[in-house]
Amino acid sequence: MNQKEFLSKVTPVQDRLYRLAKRLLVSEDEAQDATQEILIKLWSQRKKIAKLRSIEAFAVTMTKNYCLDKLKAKSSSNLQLVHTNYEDHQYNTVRASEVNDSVNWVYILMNDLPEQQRMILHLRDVEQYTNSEIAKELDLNETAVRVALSRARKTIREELLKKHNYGIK
Amino acid sequence: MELNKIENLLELYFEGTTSLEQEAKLRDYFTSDEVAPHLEEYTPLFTAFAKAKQERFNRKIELPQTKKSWQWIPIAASIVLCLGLFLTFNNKRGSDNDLGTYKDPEIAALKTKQALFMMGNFMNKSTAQLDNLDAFEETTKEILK
Repeated sequence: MNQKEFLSKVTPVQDRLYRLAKRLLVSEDEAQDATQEILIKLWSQRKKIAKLRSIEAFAVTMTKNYCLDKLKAKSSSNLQLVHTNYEDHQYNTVRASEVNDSVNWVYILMNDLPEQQRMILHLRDVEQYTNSEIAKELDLNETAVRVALSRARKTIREELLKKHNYGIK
Repeated sequence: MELNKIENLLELYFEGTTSLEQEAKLRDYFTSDEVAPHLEEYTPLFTAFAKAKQERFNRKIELPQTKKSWQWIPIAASIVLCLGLFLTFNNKRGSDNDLGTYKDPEIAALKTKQALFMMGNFMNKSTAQLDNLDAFEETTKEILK
């Protein structure tokens, strides 16, 4: 496979990889780095890819693993401050300033979901994958995907309603 | 679309049992301008999904160049070297019976002498340069006493 063929195969997929990476890593720069890294990895494995029917599933799984590794490395190397002794009834002020409209609020709520639910919700509602595709990529069974999806959607709804009604009720 | 149908779909949506087509319908409805007021709180959700899909990866990727041509060069070179050595040695042994010997003992002795002289000359020439080292010793003696 030469560079041109490779790029023609990879170009339709790279935006998806980037969006997934961004969903997991949150930061735009990190997501771009991750995507680039994944594409270079794919390039180095191009012989293997040439035999695959669809490069997409392979690449998505790769991105998922890469991002989760990144997150794990980050959480183990950084000290985390955990506040246990105070309750914040109002929305965090730092965050509140980040939110300029309720669409962004949805993204922030998504980032609060556990990684697996976040990935499932993203793959389903943003990328419109079928549950069986998601199950295959995340190595789960379809029921688990459906349950996680429902849980993620409900969590978002709950938080969204809270925000919507904030100051009214 | 009728309102109760949308409400139904929403319910199914939160149970995770809608199909992709039904979800597309919901997205279409909520990104349109005519959302019923009591459902308005769901608009950001579907707008967010629709908007998220428009993000693009716009960094130019630079793939590392292929190094395919390089890895064969050492192998080819070693083959050429082996072949060359093999041929030269083989050639000498096979075709040449003349080993440079002299039949007349007198001439042989003369030639040997000549060769040894030449060697000795070279030796002397190189040892002569070692004399310079004495200079070091003298200076160290002067410094250290």
